[in-house]
Amino acid sequence: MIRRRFLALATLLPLAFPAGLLAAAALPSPTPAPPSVASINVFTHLNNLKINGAAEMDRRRGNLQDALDKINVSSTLSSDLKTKVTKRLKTELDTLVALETKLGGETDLPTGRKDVQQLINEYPTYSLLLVQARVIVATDREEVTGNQLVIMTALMQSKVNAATLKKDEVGAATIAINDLKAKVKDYKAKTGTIIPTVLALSFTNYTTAYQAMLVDRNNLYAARADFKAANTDITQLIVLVNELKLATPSPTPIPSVTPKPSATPVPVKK
Amino acid sequence: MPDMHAMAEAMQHDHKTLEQVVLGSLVAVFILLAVLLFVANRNQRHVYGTIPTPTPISAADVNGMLPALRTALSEADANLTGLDNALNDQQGSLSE
Repeated sequence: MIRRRFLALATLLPLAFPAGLLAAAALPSPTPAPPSVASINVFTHLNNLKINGAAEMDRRRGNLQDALDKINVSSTLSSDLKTKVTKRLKTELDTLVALETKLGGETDLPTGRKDVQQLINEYPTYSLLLVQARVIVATDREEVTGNQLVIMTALMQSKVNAATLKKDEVGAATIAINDLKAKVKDYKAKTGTIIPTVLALSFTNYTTAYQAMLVDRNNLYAARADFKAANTDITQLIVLVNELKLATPSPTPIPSVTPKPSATPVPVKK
Repeated sequence: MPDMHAMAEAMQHDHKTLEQVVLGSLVAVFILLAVLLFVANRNQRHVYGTIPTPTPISAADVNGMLPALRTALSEADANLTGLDNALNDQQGSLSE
């Protein structure tokens, strides 16, 4: 008897199951069963990759965009050179944007990992491009400073020639002028070849390219030291030629007041 | 008896000669002084590079150029810092 009922139930069960599914689809969906631990891990890992990847790409894009903006407002770079450098930076920016979009849309952890690996592989190119752009920008700004110094040197030379100086002042002015000219010459020697060299740099070997740009950086700092010394020379020359104060006009001096006779000290009460 | 007329003529002649000598000497002294002054002035110019009227550095020269130089210097400094930051750039965390 029991066996006959079991057989009947076993026969009807496959027929009843699809009907049950249809009924369930028509009803409001029940609270889903809690996901397994493995699926939580996959979701968390993929989400972390997306969050960290997006943050890193935003950071890189911000740095590249800053450099690009500075290249665009440079005053001493030729338009050809600007075009060449901005094209490289924009290509890298586009790569990062495409990668960010791709990673953001991933639903699969292994593919997300591949995207992040691609981001890691892209780092040397990004890093070298950023340094290259920064070297060019720094050289451009030093060129602006150098041009100002050349103008100031010519002005100082004409003023020294024209001014009535005492014998000892003539000697000091000559020393300062010669030093100023030497600093201008030295800065040009230090920075004159940086831009063509850095533009021709191959990024095949990261360390070699990085080291080459480190040398450029040191030359830019040496030129900066020249500027500092030249600024001191100019300050000295102005004082010698004209005794003209460099700063904004000094405020009206406070008239000296004859000190009042000190009053008899009041005895302290104990 | 001496010829008074001849004596008077001789004296007049001597007087004229003396006048010429004095005048000539004065002219020579003036010329010498002029030459000395010229040479002294030229030497002074050579040594001091002077022109009689000094041309001071005007406020416009200083006010226009020095701030421009200093602005350029400070911007160059800022960009050197930017270069150092780029050289020290580190990749952010990409952990899961």
